[in-house]
Amino acid sequence: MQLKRKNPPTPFLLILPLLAISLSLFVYPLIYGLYISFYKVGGYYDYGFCGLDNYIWLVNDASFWNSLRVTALFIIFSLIVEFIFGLLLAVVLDKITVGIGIFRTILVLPLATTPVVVGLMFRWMFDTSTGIVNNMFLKPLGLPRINWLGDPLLALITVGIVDIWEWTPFVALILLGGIKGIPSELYEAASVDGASGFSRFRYITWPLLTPSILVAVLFNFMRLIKTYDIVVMLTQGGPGEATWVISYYIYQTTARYMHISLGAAANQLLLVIVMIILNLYIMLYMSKQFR
Amino acid sequence: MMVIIMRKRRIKVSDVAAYVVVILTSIFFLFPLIYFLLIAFKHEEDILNIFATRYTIENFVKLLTEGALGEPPEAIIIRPLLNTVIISSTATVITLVVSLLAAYSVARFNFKGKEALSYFVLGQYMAPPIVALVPLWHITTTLGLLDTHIILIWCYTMFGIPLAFWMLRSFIMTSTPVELEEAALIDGCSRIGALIHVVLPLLRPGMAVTFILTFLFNWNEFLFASTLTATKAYTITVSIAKFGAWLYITWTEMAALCFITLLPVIILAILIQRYIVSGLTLGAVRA
Repeated sequence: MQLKRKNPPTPFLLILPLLAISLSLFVYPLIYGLYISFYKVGGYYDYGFCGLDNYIWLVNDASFWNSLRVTALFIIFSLIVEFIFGLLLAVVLDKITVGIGIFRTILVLPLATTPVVVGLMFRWMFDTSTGIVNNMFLKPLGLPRINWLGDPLLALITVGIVDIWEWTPFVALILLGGIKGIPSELYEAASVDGASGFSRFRYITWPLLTPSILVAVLFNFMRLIKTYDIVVMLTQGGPGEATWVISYYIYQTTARYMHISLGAAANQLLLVIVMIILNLYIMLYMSKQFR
Repeated sequence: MMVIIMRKRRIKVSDVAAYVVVILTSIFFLFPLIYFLLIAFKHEEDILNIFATRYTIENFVKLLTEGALGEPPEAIIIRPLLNTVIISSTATVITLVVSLLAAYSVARFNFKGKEALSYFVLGQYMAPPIVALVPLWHITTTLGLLDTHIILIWCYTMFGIPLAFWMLRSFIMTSTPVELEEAALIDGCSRIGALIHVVLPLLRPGMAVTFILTFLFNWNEFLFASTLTATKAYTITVSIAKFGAWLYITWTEMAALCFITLLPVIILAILIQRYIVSGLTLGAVRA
């Protein structure tokens, strides 16, 4: 519902402060980044305009491709596991009535916890010699010590596990909201018709949950592509470049090696990739929702 | 009769199973936090055991009087904590004021481009922050703002806007009836007067939730804090990262530092537990 506009400039005056901040710190940097990606500028050098050189350099850079591959693997792994665990957890949580508030509170804690602390905490727990995972869980079972953060593939999986610990509740709580929104008459009707638990899930919960699922996956993807803090704390990108997610690559290129325009070019490529994925996804979302 | 009994029993069994699963998952999510934070209260020799026989607050006393890792307490905890409080709260207040004005404008007026504005703000949320970092870093050095409170406050305000704007927008649309404002306007109240005297009191719970959420994410921020600060304006997350990266850490003191950092976060998270997921999805999920 809208009020009638009395003095025309008011709505614009009201959005002005927000626009000023967004333009100065979001739009201007984006344009500036695009501009500088065509120049060869770094912390200690300035060779002026260079056309597409930065982009060509990136496309030929093995580290860049490695970081894209690492990011993709990490996102796919975390996204799938978090979705499956989150869905199971949501279905189970739906059955709980007594103490649901306590469980919800517990679930919220990981995702509010400072990511830097999460990283440090798990670096301590996954430590090969003193970590609790090796000493408390694997040793009693007679399993050998595992070098969680030292092996290239395992290190990436470990980062994934930490992300799963931190963000499965996020997916679970979104899906729980969706399940709670499904009218209970549908389940009652299905029970009367003698539908089994699985077919109730397959033919009622799943289709009606689709919008929530799409929201959960969308926001989880947007969050995963930003991953940086836990990588820094857990592995610092190592071993080698095994956990160089894209944010870490750009950070290293820019802040560590001072190749500012190269980092800017990598940013543009990242933005294009994110935009393509999000657009495809939103198209899918629209087609599912308004079918 | 048999059928009824059978059904009753089946429901009970599945309920019990549900509780068992939920309790086990709760332990999975709680255990690392409790285990790690308990280290803060342990003696050095007990840190490898889950439970110690005796607990102590010595680590906190040491951290606050002698510091840790050869650093004085001023550098490792007091200054970064102070910086974090100043930066997070100032940025949160500015974010809230700016977002409230814009959200009110979008919720109450019809003007060209208001949908575009909402989606522009959404885009700001979608773009990975690292994308803004490179140019920002350059701009910051040019303006001479590196390692100051101002630049971080400015950045956090920008990052807080999407969440605050979308949350407040939906709070205004759901919890403040437009009729009350119309009445106030007819009684000769100005637009801003109506916002302050009619909308704000009704919006108090929504403002509180948005404030806490924004503050929480500002408190936890690391990427920008670590890049745009050096020795003066660094925040608590930077301090943890810096000293946590050392090869030989006194874990007891590190855990104490983390405990102090996490305490406000956990209290605030418990307070607004219902709204965290809603906030993170910009209101796409109802609280």
